[in-house]
Amino acid sequence: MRLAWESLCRLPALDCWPVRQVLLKQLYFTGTESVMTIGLVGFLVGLIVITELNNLVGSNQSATNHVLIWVVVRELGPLIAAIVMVGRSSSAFASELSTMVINGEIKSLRCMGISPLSYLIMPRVLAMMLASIALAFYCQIVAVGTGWIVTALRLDISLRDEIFSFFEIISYREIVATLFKSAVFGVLVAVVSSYHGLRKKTAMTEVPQAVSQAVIRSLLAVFVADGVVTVLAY
Amino acid sequence: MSDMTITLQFSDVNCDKISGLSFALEAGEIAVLRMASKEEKLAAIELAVGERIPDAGTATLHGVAVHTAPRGNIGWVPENGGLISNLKVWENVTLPLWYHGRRRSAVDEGKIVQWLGALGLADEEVERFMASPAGRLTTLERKRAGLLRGLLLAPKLLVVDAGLFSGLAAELQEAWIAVLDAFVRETEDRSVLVVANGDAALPWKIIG
Repeated sequence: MRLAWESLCRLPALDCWPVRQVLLKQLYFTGTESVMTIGLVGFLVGLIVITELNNLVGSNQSATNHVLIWVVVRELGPLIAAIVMVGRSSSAFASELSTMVINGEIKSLRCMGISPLSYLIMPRVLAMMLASIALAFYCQIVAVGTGWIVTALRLDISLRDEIFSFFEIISYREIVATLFKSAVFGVLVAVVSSYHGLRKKTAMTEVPQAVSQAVIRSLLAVFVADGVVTVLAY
Repeated sequence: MSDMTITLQFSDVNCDKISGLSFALEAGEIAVLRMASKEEKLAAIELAVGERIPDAGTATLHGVAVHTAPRGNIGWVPENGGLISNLKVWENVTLPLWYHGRRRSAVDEGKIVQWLGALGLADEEVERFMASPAGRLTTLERKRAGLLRGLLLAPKLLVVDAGLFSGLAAELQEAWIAVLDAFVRETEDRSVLVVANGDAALPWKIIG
């Protein structure tokens, strides 16, 4: 929590070009490079959920859209984005920061008067928060779109009617809550990974341990936060 | 000695590794601070760059406590260059310059070529060297990039780990010593503090 708060307090450092450069690199690495994976997983989730649902409720358009909103929009979109980010970026953050600690690069930054929190951590937290929101939204669009198309093809329901019905059911509150949830997931994954990466280490053999801890605890943090936000928001 | 001519002053500085360290470094001076062990050397460097606050005594830069002085006024050249391995050389050498608020236009490419030439790098090698990822550099190249970074920052006080000169060919060592002399002569308010542990075969005044 302290690391998250201190990162937030360092936002003015974005005025500085090298910090913005780290932010852009992290946005590319965490966000842009995950687009294909998220798209593919979103497509498969939409396909699987809607196929099972069609088998269960047949051509019940309202039930189909309700389940799409409850399962895909509220839960799976943000969760899938977070899980992909944990797999790709959490381990990368932890191993990169751990290696920097062991090589004395963090100390080197401090001796140059460069705050590791401002230069390394804050841009990572911000990038992961923004990427998490964007990727979750993208995942939701792909999964829901796939659901509509599969339903239209399999059950001969008008695609236009499905879309209208969906937007009649979904509320702004649900959209805002899922985006908020994604932002929380992004911050948690970045903070937990950075914390494990920055912990004091003396040998390279401690890097895999830090990476494994970062991944496991990031996942745990995401699921706990999901439970809390879901109970509070819905 | 007037306070205005003193760049760095340690008065009876104590920390867990050092006790009662006192010296004064004047503007326009290069001096070697000789410490008894590597731990003491690293502690003295951390005190001189403001990374550590003395437990007792005072460490001042132009009369202001070092740890509160503007950080762009202090440069640091570690033994192995202290580069960030996932950045290219040019990103490394401009990092403190841009972080401490000086704009991109402040980086004079002519100056980079001039300093690198003086540090023993041929003109045709400059582009390749600057574009190299720091993680792939040899020890000598890392030291050269670290020194270039300190010179480009053009601080009032440049703190150099004397280990920078170890392992250099005699000719190159002389060239780098001449570069530091030239750096201090460029303006009147610059000083260089070279921190060594044990004896260091360097031509400057020994203090501490």
